Amino acid sequence: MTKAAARGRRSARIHWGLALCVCAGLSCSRTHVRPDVTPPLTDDFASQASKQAAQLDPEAGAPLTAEEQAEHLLARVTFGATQADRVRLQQQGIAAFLEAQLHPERLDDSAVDQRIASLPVETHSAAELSQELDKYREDQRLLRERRAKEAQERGIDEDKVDEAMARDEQLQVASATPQEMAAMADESKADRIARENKRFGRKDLGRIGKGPGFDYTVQLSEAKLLRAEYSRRQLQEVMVDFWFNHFNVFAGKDREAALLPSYENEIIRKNALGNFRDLLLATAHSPAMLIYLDNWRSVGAPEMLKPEFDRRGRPIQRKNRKLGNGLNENYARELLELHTLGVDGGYTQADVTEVARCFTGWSVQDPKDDPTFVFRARQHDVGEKHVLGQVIPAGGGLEDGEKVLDLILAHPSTGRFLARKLARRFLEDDPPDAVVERVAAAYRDTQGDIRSMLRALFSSPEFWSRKALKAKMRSPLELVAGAVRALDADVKDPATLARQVGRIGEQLYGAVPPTGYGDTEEVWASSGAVLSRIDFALALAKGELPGVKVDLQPLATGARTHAEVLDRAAALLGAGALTERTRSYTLAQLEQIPLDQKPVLVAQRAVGLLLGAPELQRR
Amino acid sequence: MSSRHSRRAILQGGGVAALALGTGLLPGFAQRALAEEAVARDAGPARKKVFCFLFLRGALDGLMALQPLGDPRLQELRPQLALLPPGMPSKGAQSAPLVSLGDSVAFAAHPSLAPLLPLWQQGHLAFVHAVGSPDPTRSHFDAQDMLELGTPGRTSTPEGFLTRALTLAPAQEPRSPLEVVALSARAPRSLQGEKGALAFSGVDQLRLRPQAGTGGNPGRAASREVFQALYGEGADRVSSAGQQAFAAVDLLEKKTGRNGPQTDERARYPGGPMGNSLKQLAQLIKADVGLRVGCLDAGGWDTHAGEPGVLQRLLGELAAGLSAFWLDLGERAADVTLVAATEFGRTARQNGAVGTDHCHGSVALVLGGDVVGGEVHGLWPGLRDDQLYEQRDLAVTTDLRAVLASALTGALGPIDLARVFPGFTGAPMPGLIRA
Repeated sequence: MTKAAARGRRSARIHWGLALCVCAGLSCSRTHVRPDVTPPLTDDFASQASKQAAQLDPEAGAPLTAEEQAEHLLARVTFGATQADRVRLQQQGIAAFLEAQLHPERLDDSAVDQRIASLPVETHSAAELSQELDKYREDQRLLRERRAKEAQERGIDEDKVDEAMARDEQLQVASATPQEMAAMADESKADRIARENKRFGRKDLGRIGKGPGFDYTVQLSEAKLLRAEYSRRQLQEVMVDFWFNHFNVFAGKDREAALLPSYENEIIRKNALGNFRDLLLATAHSPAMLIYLDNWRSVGAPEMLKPEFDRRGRPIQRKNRKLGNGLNENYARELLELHTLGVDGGYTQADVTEVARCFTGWSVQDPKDDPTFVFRARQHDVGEKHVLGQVIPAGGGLEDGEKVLDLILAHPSTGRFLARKLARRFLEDDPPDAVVERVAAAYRDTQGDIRSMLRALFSSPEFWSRKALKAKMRSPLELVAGAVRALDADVKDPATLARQVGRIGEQLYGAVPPTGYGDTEEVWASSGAVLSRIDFALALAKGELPGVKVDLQPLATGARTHAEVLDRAAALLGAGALTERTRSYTLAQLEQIPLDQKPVLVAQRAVGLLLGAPELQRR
Repeated sequence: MSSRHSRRAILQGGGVAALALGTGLLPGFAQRALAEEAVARDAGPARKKVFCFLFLRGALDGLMALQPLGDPRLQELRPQLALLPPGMPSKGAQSAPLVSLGDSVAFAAHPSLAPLLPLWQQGHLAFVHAVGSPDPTRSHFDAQDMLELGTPGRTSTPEGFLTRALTLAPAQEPRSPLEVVALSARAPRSLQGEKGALAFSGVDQLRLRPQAGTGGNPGRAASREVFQALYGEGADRVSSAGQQAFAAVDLLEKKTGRNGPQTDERARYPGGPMGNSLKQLAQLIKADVGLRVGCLDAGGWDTHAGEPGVLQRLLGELAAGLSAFWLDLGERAADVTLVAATEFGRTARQNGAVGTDHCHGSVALVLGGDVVGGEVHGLWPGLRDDQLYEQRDLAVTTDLRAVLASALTGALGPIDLARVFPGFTGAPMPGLIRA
């Protein structure tokens, strides 16, 4: 056995933290608080790290100024700096600000919680959402069948039936006096949806009217945008985004839209800054993941199942035990490749199959009425398995999968894989090995404490190097949320912003593959998306996004020159150092408008141009 | 070089210069654009072979589109879906006249595909039957992913198969910012990782809105010019992406729309998104913008209920669209290879709602100048219970990757297929594309 593996085993034996808490309902929605494992960051750690960075790598340039440090930190641990953040950070100092972000439970977030609490996906259990989804689909199926039948009976084509049915439905709903009909014609979309819900006996869970699956996803996206804009727990929300992509589930598969609200709240958010073991175990037990990666229907080979006997004690022929689809390796593969070890993490295809065998029987009680975890012993492969060189003895049950999770949690590849991903998210696309090793060491030393890994990352000299400034491209979500935060926009309709994020290439909850969305410039810098980014910038600056109001008056108030407006806008947006070209060219554009006559127009133009410029696509 | 062509090039050059002068700016990008235009002119028109991929999303019922004619099993399995040979009495099912596909072939195309008959007779259109993926998934989203990524069994492949094909195919000069276009709101996963792909369902989608203090078309043009300048210098990835986007929009505006070749008035495209995107694709091809790969989407094929009506409409739209596309392309049709394929097929048996459910094998259409048409390619597995996959689905006898491999090498040149389709050990489908 290698030294690393021995160490891994030892740590697995010692202590992997608190017992798992899998909560599928809404009963335990309080934030999960773990005690600090590593000491908090203190004093002027950032300045010292920055000095160290400059000494280590003289080519990188001078240490960061205090202002640069503040802007840099805000650009990385929040969705984008606000004026309020800047003030807060200045008052508290970098260490205290960062520690507060690492302890979201200490930050009051009731304002944003209140806004989100009105969304139906937040107030209904996964079972309720799932049942409604089912009911809707059943309605649709009946409708289609009726339509098909009528088409056949009447011998007319489908389109005409569609029209006839639409008319029909209107009439039926009305069954009404002309006055009522007239009232219906005038009704708002919300009223129409409420009426249809009533007619079909549906709960009022949606507001769009394209069916619950769509509605839930829109509401989830609204909640995500609201939190990104207004939550004080910015680092937590950044980490929710990070982990959601790490443990991605696509809202469009099966009934995932109904399961995702609790998946995100109870599993991802709760453990976002907790311990990776809790997070991994919770996802492994979650109906959302079990269904997304098909494990819930994975069944051992017939000869590997526990024998069963009928009432007279005769063995039941295996072929008569109808158990579904056989072994499914989907979850096992992504567990190793994407959730823990990484593609080069030192496992083989044989390991994938063996891991899949260990997880047979990890299933869902009833996706519709009771979407909770269940272990189905009858489906479990009870044979002996060999995973990463370890023997998992025959005759096991639920614990086979748990053993696998412990094995891979303690594997050195897991810490390194997570460390590299975190460094990629917070530092740069291709992070230096030294940083990765430091963060991986924190994983190892603390048995997966996420907060400690982040401390190791944020206290690395490389994080505070001049080279790190603006080294990351903003994802579509970061661009949209960051712009709205910087301008302190009043967001009445967060769905508008979610659509923009989608248009720029990041359909929220719409990442189909288990990889989730990528986190590099390579992923986001495509030619079509650049046009969408610019158009978003222009639209926001001009106040042309419905339900999103920006007040740019203050940028122009009291400004004596166009340059002053430009500088204010650049500072507000966190533009950093503009290239001379951008600055002079933008200024020339501003000077086309007389400042004394149309100050707001000057401000709008400044914000539109800057926000669309290449510099602002970075953070 | 034709006189028509050089005249257009001069007009375009003038257009750029005028735009630049009109706003009191002579940026480097405009000069470069003029220089590039001149280079392109010298190199002749950017006429290239084009690979088109039309994804029929939702799982087309291959047994409905192309039926084994007179197979009594078909009547048994799907009494209300099977077509009857002409002259036989109708039993409540469709009794529309059949389209004959020639004497040697024992298949009949769905009557709605009738507009494709001339293309079949001229040898431009081929079918590949019992085609599909070796992966047995019956999930739309997994199957679509695997098809577009070119890796059955894997949905986390980082790049689409077209992305890899384009990377590996020999480059063709002159390069164009419009080599890869998807006529859809977003680039499909087959182009995942392809930085140069431009996706738009209409050219309007690529227009920037006017910046504050301007309006209308002049405002839009001004916005573009401003940002073209802001993105014009940088060598970083974001700036390059911007430069390419603007170059593509420039080229589009110069060579298509009012300035470009017009739609052949005999080409009757069907209404709706499929017809519209085929029409736009034909325009791009005819305009010699340097297109090499075009992607199209057509949804709605998930016929769980009321299948006859749905397919009558959709197959009719497909046939009308493709035949208009071909006619519209005129002499450029010779350069085009189009594959229309779907993620999987539908159950051999009809269900209780006069529809069919998810299954395995289906049919693909291949249209093009180099296609060995007038033939149904592939190996017919039969419809007996023991011939069906898991006793319910049309078995897959041809891996769709073999079809794609054949069409891709025909259109893009020699490519290392083992890298386009990692794990695929088969060969390009023989006899489908003329060498």
